[in-house]
Amino acid sequence: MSQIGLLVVVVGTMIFLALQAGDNLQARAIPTGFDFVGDSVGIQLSEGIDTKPATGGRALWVGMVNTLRISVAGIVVATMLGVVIGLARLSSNWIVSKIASVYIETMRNIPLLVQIIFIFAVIQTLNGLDEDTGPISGWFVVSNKGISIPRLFGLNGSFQWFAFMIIGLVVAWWVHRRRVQEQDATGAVTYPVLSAVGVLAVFGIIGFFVHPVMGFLGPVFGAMANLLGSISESLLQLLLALAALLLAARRIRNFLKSMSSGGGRAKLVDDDYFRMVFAGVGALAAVLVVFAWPGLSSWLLNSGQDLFELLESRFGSGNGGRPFDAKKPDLNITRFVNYGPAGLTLSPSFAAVFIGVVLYTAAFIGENVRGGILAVPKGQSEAAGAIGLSRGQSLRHIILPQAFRIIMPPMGNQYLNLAKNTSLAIAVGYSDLVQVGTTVYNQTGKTLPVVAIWMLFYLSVSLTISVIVNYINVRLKIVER
Amino acid sequence: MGKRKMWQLLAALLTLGMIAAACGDSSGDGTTGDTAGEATTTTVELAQADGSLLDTIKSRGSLICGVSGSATAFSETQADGTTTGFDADYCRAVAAAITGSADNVQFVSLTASQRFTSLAAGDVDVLFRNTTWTQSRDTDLGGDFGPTTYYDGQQLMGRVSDGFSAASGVSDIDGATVCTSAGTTTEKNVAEAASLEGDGFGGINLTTFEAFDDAVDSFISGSCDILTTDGSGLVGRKAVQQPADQEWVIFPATPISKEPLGPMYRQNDSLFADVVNWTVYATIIADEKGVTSANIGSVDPEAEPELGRLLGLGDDEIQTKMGLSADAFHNVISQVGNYDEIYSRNLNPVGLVRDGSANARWTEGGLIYAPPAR
Amino acid sequence: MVFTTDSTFAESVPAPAAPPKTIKLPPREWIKQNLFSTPFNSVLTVLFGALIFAAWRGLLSFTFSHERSWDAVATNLRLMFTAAYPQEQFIRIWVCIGFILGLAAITVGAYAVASRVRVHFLAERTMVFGGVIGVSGLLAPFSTSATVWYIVIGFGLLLPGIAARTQIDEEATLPLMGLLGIAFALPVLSLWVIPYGHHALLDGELIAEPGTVARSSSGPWTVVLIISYALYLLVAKVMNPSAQARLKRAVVGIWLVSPLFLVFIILRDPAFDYDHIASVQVPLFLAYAILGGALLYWLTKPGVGEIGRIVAATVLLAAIGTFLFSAFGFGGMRQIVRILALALAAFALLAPTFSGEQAARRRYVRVWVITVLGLVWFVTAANSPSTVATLSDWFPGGFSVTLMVATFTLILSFPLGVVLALARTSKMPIFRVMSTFYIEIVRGVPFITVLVFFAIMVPLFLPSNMEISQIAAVVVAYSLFSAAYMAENVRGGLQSIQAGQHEAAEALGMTGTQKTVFIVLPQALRASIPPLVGQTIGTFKETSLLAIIGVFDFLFVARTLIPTQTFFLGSLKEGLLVVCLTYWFFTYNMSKASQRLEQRLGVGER
Repeated sequence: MSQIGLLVVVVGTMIFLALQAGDNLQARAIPTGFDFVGDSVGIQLSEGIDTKPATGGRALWVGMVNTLRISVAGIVVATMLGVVIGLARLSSNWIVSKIASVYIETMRNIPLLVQIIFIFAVIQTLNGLDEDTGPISGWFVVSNKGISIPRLFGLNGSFQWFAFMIIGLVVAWWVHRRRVQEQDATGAVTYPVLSAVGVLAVFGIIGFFVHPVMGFLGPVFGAMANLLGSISESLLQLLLALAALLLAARRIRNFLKSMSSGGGRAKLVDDDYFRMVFAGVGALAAVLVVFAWPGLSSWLLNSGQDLFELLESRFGSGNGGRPFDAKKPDLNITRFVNYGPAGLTLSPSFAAVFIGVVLYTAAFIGENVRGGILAVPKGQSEAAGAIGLSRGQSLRHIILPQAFRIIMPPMGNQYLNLAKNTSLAIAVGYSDLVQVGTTVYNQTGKTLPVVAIWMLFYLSVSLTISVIVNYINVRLKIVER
Repeated sequence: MGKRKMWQLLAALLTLGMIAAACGDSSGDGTTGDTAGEATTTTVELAQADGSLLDTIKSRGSLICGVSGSATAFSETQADGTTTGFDADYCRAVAAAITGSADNVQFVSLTASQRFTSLAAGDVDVLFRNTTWTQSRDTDLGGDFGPTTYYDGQQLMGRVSDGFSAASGVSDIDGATVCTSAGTTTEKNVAEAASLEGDGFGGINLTTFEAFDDAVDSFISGSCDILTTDGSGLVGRKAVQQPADQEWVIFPATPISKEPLGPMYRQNDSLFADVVNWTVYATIIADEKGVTSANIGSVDPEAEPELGRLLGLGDDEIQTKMGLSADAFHNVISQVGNYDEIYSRNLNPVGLVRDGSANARWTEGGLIYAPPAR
Repeated sequence: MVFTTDSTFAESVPAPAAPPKTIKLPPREWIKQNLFSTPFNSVLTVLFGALIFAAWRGLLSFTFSHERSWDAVATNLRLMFTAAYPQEQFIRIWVCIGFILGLAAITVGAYAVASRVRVHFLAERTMVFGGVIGVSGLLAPFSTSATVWYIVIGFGLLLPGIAARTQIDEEATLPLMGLLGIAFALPVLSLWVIPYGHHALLDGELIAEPGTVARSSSGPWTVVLIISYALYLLVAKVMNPSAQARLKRAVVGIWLVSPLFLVFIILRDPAFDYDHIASVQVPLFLAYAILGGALLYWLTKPGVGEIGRIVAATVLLAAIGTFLFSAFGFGGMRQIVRILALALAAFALLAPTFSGEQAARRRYVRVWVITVLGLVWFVTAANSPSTVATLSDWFPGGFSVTLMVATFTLILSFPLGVVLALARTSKMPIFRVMSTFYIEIVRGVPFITVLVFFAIMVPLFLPSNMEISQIAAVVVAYSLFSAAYMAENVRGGLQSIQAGQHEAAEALGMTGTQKTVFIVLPQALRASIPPLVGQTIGTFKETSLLAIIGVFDFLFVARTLIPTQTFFLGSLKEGLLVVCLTYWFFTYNMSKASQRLEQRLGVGER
C-alpha cells in the first residue's frame, strides 16, 4: 500500500516539475528542441575525426569518438600501470615500495582537475617545435605542441589478413590446449603460452603474403547482401515482434516452473506478480516499438546490406599487396612549424588529460591490487614457498589468479570512474563530448538538449562497461556449495 | 481482492486525481511564504513575477549585475574582494540611477557559457560582461542589447620573430595553431575568416580554452602560434605579459570582425531597458558637454537646458516619467563619473586610449554618440 | 621419563615462549637487505634513486626560481581563503575559526586521546627531516649564502636527532598532546617574530612592506590558540568522568548543528525582525510543539493500534493537502506551516516504532520539540536578510566555500543515501526498482554534467515566485549525486548482516521499521564506515569541479581570478601549487585518520 502511495507521490512530483519547467521555458522564451543536430553550427574543433563538422550532430559525434578514444586507451594503460604500482608497493626493495606509496598517497589526495591543469602547465614548458626536434627526429617527436609517432593503418588487404588471423587464432588455441594437457599429464615444462604466441606470430607473417587466399569469402558476403536485400520489411517486423513475445512467454513459463517445484502450485508474492507483469509489459512495449517505428526494421535491413557489401568489396580479388602501411610523422612548415596529418599526433590537451587520468586511476587500481594480493590467505604464499617456487613464480601461478577474483569488482568501478573523469577535458581544451557540447550550446543557446545527450551517452558507456565487468565477474566467481 | 484493498486503491486514485487537478492550475500562485522585509542575500528569495524588473530592483534595494570577474580592466576581482573595471563601473552607474547609491550592487561572476542562461533564468538583472551585440544573440537568446559602451574588434596577435608586422593579415596565418577562449564569438569568427580564404590557404588548427589565461600561457610558451580575442584584451596582455625576449604584434589594423560590447537584459521589459539605455547615454552626454564628477556642482540649468533636464535640476525633467527619481542621473555622474572618467580610470592603465580609436567622441572622429535628452 | 610428583615435573614443562624481539639491523645490514638484496633490486635502487633526485631537484628549481612571483599568492591570501567577505566584519570569520578549533579541542579532550610517542621515533623523524633540508640546500638553485644556511639548519636538526637516538633510552616516551600543543604554538609564535607577507592591497594601491600578513593575523590566531588550549585542559583534566561521558554524547550533536549555527548566526548575522517573530513565529512554534507533542505522546502509547495508524495517515494527507491547496488560491499559508505539517506527519508515522513506556514517550516528544525549534529557527534565519554587506553573490568564497559545500553535502547526502540503500534492499518491488533506477543513473553520469544541469535547471523547476541561490542549487545537486554513492556503500554494509539477526528480530515481535532502526542500521553503518570515509574524502576533492561552472571556490580563485588582476597577470602556476598543497594536506590527514579509525573499530579483521 505504501508503495503505491510512494509511486503516486513521485510520479505526481515529476509531472508537477515537468509542467513547471515547461511553463517557465515558455515564459522566458528559452529555445529547446533538437534541430541543432541537423543545422550547421560553424565551429571548428581542435582534434578528432572531423575538425570542421558540418552539423551540430556531427560535432557531437566527433566529441563522442574522442571521449571513447581516450577512455579505452586510458583503461588499458591505467590497468597495466596500476598492476605495476600495486606490485611495487609490495616489493621487498625499500626504495621501490616507498616510491610507490608516496605516489599513491600523492595522486589519491589531489583532485584530478588540479592534476590535469598542472600537467598541462608542465607540458607547456617543453621545447618548441622545430624542423629537427624530438628524441628521434623524424620518428618520435616531442614538443610543446604535442607528441607525434608513426601511424600504422590498414590498406584494403587488411580484412583478408584479419580473416587469416582468425584461423591462426583457432590453431593457436588448439596448440595451447594440447600443451597444457601435456604439461598437466607429464609435468614437463612445455611453455603453452609461448607456443601459442609463436604460432600466432607465424600465421601473422605468412598472412602478409598469403592473404589473397581468403578472397573466396567475397562472393559469400555478396550472396548474403543479396539475401538481405530480398527480405521485406514487414516480414522482419513480424519476426521481431514474434521473437519479443516468445522470449517474454518463455521467461514467465520458466519462472512459474521454478516456483512450483515440489508438488502443486507454490505461493506467489507481490514481487513475483510484479516481475511477470513487468516481463509482459516489456514485451508489449517492444512489439509496439517495432510496429510503430517502421524505420527500425528498414534501418536494420539496410545497414546489414551495407555491411555485407562492404565486406564483399574488401574480400574480393584485387586486394593483394601489403595489408598494412606506416607513415612517419611529418611537419607542416609554413610560417610556423606544426605537425602534419601523416603521423599519429597527441596534442598537448590530449596528453594532459590522458596522463592525468591514467596516473590518477592507476593509483586507485594499485591500491586495489595490493588489497587483493594481501587478501589471499597467507597460507597460499607460504605453501608456494614450501614447494620451492620463487617469489615471482608464486605470484604468477598461485597468488595473482586468486587475487584477480577479489580485484575485479572494484576495478570495474575504477574503469567507470575513468570514463567519467575524461569529462574534465573541458579545462584544458581537449575536444571531448563535454567540451564540444559546451561549445555547441554556447553557439546555439540550447543547453537542455545537449545535457540530455550527454547523460544518454555516459549512461550507455557506463552500462556497457558494467555489463562487461559483470560478465567477467560471473565467470570468475568461486562456485560455492 | 478484499474490501480493504479496494478502499486503499480508491484512496490512492483519489490522491492521484487531486494531484492532477492541482497541477492543471499551476499558474496564478500568489506569494507564499515568509518575507521579513527587504532581503539582500537570502537562501530562498521571493521576487514578484508581475510588473517590471525596475519595481523588483527598487523593492529589493540593489542591482544584481552579471559580470565576468576575471576580465582584465573590464571586471576584475581585487585582493580585497571588490570588483573593479569598466563594466563594473557601468553596473554601479545603473545601480546609482535606480537606487540612488552606486554601492547597491551585487556582482555575480559568470563564465562565458553561463552568461546567457543566467540572464534568461533571472539570476541576474543585467549583463555587463563583454558581450558582443549580434543578430543571432538578439533573437535567439531571449535578451535585448543596450547601447554599445565599447567598440571593439577581433584581432590576432603573433610574434615578430615569426615574420609578422602590423600590416599582416588573415592570409598570413596559414597552418597556424590558433588559441582563443571557448564559448565566444571569437572562435566562430576566426573559423569563418579562415574558411573564407582562398585555395592556397591550408587551414588553421583551432584550440579553445575555458580560461583565456591558459590560452595566453600557451602563446607565451610557444605551444600556440597565434592568439586571438578582442583587441582590447590583446593590448592589455601585450602591455603586461610580454616577456623580455619576445616581441608581439597585433594585426590586422582593421579588425576581422566588429565586436560592439554593451549591456544585455531580458527582452519584453521596456521600462527597465529604457533605464539602462539612458544611464549609458547620460554618461556619454555628460562627456560630450564636459561635465565630470568634479565639476557637476557648477552646472547652470539656465545656460544648459539639456543638462538641466538630464540631471534633474529643473522642472521639465523626464526621469520621474521613466520610473526613476529626478536626480537619478545626477547620482550617476557624481558617484561614478562620465564616460571619459570611467574609460580613463579603467582602461588607460592597460594601454588603451580613446584618441584615434573608435571610442573617441563623435565630434573627434569616433563612434560615441548619444541621442539628445529632450 | 618417569613421572614424579616433585618439582622436577614443573621444570620439564617448557616455559611459555617470550615474545619475539624485533631485531633492529645496524644501518649497513639494513641497506644491504632492503636495497641491494638481489641484482635486480640493486638495479631498481639505482634507477629509482636517480629518479628521486631528478624529481626533487626539478621541484625545487620550480619553486625557487626567479620567475616565480609568490607576491601574487601572498597578496591574495584573503581572496583565496574567504573571497569577498567584507574586511570590517572579518571578526566573524575569526569567531568561526575559534569555534571550530575550540570544538575540536573539546572533542579530543572528551575522548581522552592520551597516547604517548617514543623519543626514538621523534629522533628518527628529525634526522630524516634534517637530512632532507641539507640535501635540498645542495640541489636547489640557491645563492651560496642560502645554500650554506640550509646546510647549517640541516645539520642543526641532524645532530640532536643522532644524539637523542644514541643517548636516550629506547623506551622513553613523551606525551603526544604536549607535543602537539608545542607544534601548534610554534607557527603562531613565529607570526609575532617573522614578518610574513610583503604586499597588501589598500584602497586600490599595492603597498610593499614586510609583515602585512603577520600583522593582521597574529593577534587572532594567538587568542584562538589560547582558548583551544584552555578548553582542552578543562575537559581533559578538570572534568570528572561522568561529565565527560555526558559531554561525549552531546558532542556529536553539536558537530552536526554547528555548520548551520555558524553560517546562519555568525557569518550571515540575519537581521531578525523581533516583532514579527513574537507575533508569528513564537505562537506557531508553541502551537505545533504543544499540540503536536500531545498527539505524539498519545500515538506512542503501546496499545493504540489501528486507530493510531489511521490518525497518522490522516495527518499525512492533510500535510500533502496543504501543498496542493495553495494551487487553488487558498494562498497566504506560510511555507513554515506546511513544512512543520510534513514533519509532524513523519513523526506520527514513525511513532509506533518508538512506542514504549513513559520515559521513551517523553524522550520522543522532547525530540519533536527540539526539531520544531530547529526548523522554525532555520526557516526564520534563512529568510531574514543578512546584515553583512557582502560584495558578491554568496559570501565566503575561496576555501571557505569549498569547506561549506563539502560539509553541507555530507550532512544532506548521508540520510538520503541510507534511505536509498534501504529501499534498494527492500522486498517491495516498486521501492527497489525506483531506487535502483536512481542509483544506476546517477552513478553512470559524470559529475560535471549533473552540475551544469542543476545550475541551469533548478531556477526553471521552481515556481516563478521562488528563487534559490546558486550555492544552494550546487549543494542540492551535489547531495543528490553523492547520495547514490553513499547508498552503494551502505548497501554493502546491509548485505553483510547475517540472516540470523533478521530472524531473531522478527521472533522478538519487532515491526519492520523497529528492526531496521534498532538492529540492522547500527550494524550496517558500522561495517560500512571505511568506504564511507573514503567517499567523504572523494566528496571533498570533487568540490574542485565547482571551478568549472564559475563558483568562487578555491581553485577558481587561484586559476581565474588572480591571474587576471592587472598587477599579477600570468601568475597561474604559483596559485596552482598552493591549491595542490592545501588539498593534499587536508585529504592526507583525512585518509590517515580513516586508517586509524579502521584500526580502532577492528573492521576487516577476522
